[in-house]
Amino acid sequence: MRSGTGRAYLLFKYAIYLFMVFFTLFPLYWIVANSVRSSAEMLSSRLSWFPRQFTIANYAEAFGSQQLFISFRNSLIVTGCTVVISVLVGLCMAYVFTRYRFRGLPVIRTTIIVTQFIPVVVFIIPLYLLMSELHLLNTHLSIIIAYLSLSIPIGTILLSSYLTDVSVDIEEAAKIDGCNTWQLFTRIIMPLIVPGLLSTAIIMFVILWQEFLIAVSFISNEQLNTVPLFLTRYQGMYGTNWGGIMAASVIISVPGLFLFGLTRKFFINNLIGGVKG
Amino acid sequence: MNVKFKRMIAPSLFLLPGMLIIAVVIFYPFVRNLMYSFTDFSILRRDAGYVGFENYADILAEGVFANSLKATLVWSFANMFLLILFGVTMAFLLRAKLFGSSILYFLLLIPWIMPEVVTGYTWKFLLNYQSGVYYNLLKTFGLIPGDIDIFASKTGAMLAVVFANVWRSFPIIALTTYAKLKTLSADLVESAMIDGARRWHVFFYLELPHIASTLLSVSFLCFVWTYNAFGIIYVMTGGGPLKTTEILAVLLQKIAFDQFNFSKASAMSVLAILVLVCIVATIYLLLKQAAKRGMRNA
Amino acid sequence: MDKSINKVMGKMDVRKRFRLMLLALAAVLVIGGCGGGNGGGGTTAGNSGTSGTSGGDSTPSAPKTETVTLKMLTQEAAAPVFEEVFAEFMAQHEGIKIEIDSVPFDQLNTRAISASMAGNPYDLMEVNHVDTLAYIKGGVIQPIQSYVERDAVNYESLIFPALLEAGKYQNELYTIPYNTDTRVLAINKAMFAEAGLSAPKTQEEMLEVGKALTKDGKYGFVNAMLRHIYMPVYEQGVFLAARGGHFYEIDANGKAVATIDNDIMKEYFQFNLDLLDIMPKESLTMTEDEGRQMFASGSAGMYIFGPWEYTLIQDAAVDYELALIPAGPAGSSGSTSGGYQLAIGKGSKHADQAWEVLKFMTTDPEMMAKIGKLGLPTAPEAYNYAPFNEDKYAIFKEQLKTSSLPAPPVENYSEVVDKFNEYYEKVLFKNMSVEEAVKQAQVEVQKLLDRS
Repeated sequence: MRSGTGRAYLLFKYAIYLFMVFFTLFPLYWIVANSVRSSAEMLSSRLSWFPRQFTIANYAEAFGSQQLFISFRNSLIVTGCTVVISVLVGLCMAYVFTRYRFRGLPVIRTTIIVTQFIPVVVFIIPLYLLMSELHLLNTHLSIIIAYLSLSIPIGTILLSSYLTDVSVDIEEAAKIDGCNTWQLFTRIIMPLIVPGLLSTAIIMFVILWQEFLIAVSFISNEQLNTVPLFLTRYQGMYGTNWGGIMAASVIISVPGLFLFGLTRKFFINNLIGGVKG
Repeated sequence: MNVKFKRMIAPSLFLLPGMLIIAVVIFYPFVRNLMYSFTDFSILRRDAGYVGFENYADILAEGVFANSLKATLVWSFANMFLLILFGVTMAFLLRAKLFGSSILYFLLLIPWIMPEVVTGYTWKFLLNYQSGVYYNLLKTFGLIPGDIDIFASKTGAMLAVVFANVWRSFPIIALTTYAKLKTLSADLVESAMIDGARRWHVFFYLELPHIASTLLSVSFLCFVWTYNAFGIIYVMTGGGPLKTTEILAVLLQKIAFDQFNFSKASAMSVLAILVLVCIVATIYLLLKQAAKRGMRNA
Repeated sequence: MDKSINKVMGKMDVRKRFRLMLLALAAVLVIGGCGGGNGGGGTTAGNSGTSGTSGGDSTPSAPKTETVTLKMLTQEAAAPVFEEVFAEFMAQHEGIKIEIDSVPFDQLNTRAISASMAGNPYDLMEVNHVDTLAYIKGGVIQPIQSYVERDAVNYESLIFPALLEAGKYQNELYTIPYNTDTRVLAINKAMFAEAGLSAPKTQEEMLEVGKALTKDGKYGFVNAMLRHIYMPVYEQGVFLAARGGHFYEIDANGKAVATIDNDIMKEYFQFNLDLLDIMPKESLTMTEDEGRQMFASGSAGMYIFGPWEYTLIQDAAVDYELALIPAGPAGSSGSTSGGYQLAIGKGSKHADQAWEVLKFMTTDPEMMAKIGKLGLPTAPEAYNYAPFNEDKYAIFKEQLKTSSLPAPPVENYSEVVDKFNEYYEKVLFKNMSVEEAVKQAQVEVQKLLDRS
């Protein structure tokens, strides 16, 4: 019945797909290619598609430096703690926003949204002074606290949209069946928004993993460097070690990808569950 | 009275920790920042004196702010349009499960994780006059008028930074929209098509409404983040050529960190936030109007 | 309603996995945290930084004099240099420990200012010479004039006098320059030999030579002309310096006067425009690395070269030699210098000890050679020590004789430079004529200078 339009449509679909694949992947290929290009070749002004001379020096150098692992550890600690706490707090707040209605709530909701508007630059000096007074400079805690202020609003906003989709009827039914608020939360709501929770967690993770300004303001001790601070060692005053920084970038993408890969199963499970039901 | 209060306890407790952190870490610095903007505080004048709106007047008087505002508007809207276009397209393509799409899905996260410095430089290099891969490709397709250096042209430079940012950020929209799209039962779509609905209608009346709320939240966040994003522009054009890509965030960065004029930077940041609030409010009202009209027609 | 209940029951698996993942994450955090080191809860002073001691005081035996711990702020690249020198100092001076806080170079100012505002200033710090006056007037650093006089140190004879100027204010010395730089002209030997040309001695010659070399996809000269706001004043500013020009000067009354609307400046701007004809088209938008790549791959005949370039192009194919910056019509070469200075923080509780460290580093030529490693040493005597006694530094030492700061820094130096650069950019993009640009720039720059 629709085979005529079908073929043209299929061609169109594949063309767009190929373009999107190229658009997304080529720069990635370029980054990886440059990370293994020899430094002599890096100095030529017309870099060819395919490196002519290979070297793993950049990767060896990155792995050889202790700083890489130290910064990984610090970033994991800081980002991990923040994400876990933010998701929980964000969920709580989103729940209130979507299930309750009392005076002052819209104001609070707007406040949360407005926090996203403020450029981080604004916070730097006042926060530095605050942390200095509290003697929290050069600690993980100061960064975690600052990061929480970034990610809790994000979590609240994103989870609100997921929660609005969870039908209130289910909750009503559960309440009638005798669930208290806690059970309601853990047994009914959580499972339904797992993909939402995971998307949100991933978004937070990626944003915090790359956060630079706050980290560089609070940290001056090499032992506490986070990953973005680790990357600055490749940027000198007169030139950047592009081969090195590309290799380092590839390496630091791994944790995020790893966690992302782990969560894929949840999306698939949810789909199957949905269809069955 | 008592019952009402009791019912408020749970939600209040839920809200408290979050609000506390936000109050301490965001509002306290922001208010302090606001105070700075009314003084002539800078590294040079520690005993800051109240100067009223002088900082604001200074900024608005220079043509620089107006120019920056224009650049910001172009940047933000161009970005949002392309981000949504690319993001939603990718979400649908992923759902179609064409060859290699599971690998693609996995790799989609990387543009976003890549440090802005690397992204900016990569795109700059790819678009380089004569030696850039993309430059040559675009030339082959006849998309480059004459023998020009993209970064020396006002529109060229803006397009370059916009596309670099779109490459970096569209995965967020693609992934979240895809996750939401997947929850739309395939059966529903099948049955609609079998009933003779045209593809376009299925999209507009079935799929779009389903992903609408998620798309809206994520797009909103993306818009705000893009508005404040200076990393890529800083690396690719430094605000040039002739300040055409110097968006408010880049200008703010320069004033704050190159010139240490903190009070001016504070005033600048307040203005930038005000502009953003106006834009968001306008869009919100427009959408509300459109929704109302949609309801009326339905 | 039934469907939803089933949905819920079907999620049991998912919940378990979810819990598992949370557990895994918790495990990572715990293991990571236990991996030793400074997991949350340390305080500033206690954490061992990157220098000397391991975690605090290392004198276990009888308490003699109290150990004083000094904190120094440096840029990341300089930290190893100072560590080495401090190790020597600490070996000779028991009772004084020095800890280094290092930050990326573009965060140096923010950090110094923040620390000062927080009432916890660094005892020692390095300051970019362009910011010295801002720091002095902002109360971030204190004068060392009294120490200098007390210990009878004659810096005029120890250090290139032109470089000391940046650290003086109202006849008091505040900072000591510890590293500097200068720029010379790099020549692509092969290209020149092929064309039968030799290094240009004047800027006019440079244009002629460049024209002869600009053919077949190669260019006479390359430089990333607009890569940062200091270009017209520093990197390209070498040509202005060789013409004896400055974009502003301090007159006899100590007032800053813009010197832009004059013939020297007009000729300098015109020279830049003429240079564009012998440069690749993308020079206006290229990054520093791209300019370097062009010269390193042998596609350009001439390039502005500083001592940092040695390591950056060491793997390059090009065979090059260095020459002095071509002279202007006045007939002498010239170049620009920048660099970093050492200072004592205002409000430091250990200023006396900080001075001892400062004196230790800056009065011994061998020490100066060590700390000058990031650029060029600021002490003429230091060039007798390795690695600066090597041939490759001879040209820089020579150029330093005619090299100076573009102008004595004023408080809002970066704003002034930014404004000047604005007009320079307009001229280069042919957005404004040279005449018009110098006229407007004169007015605008003077306005900014009047504010300081």
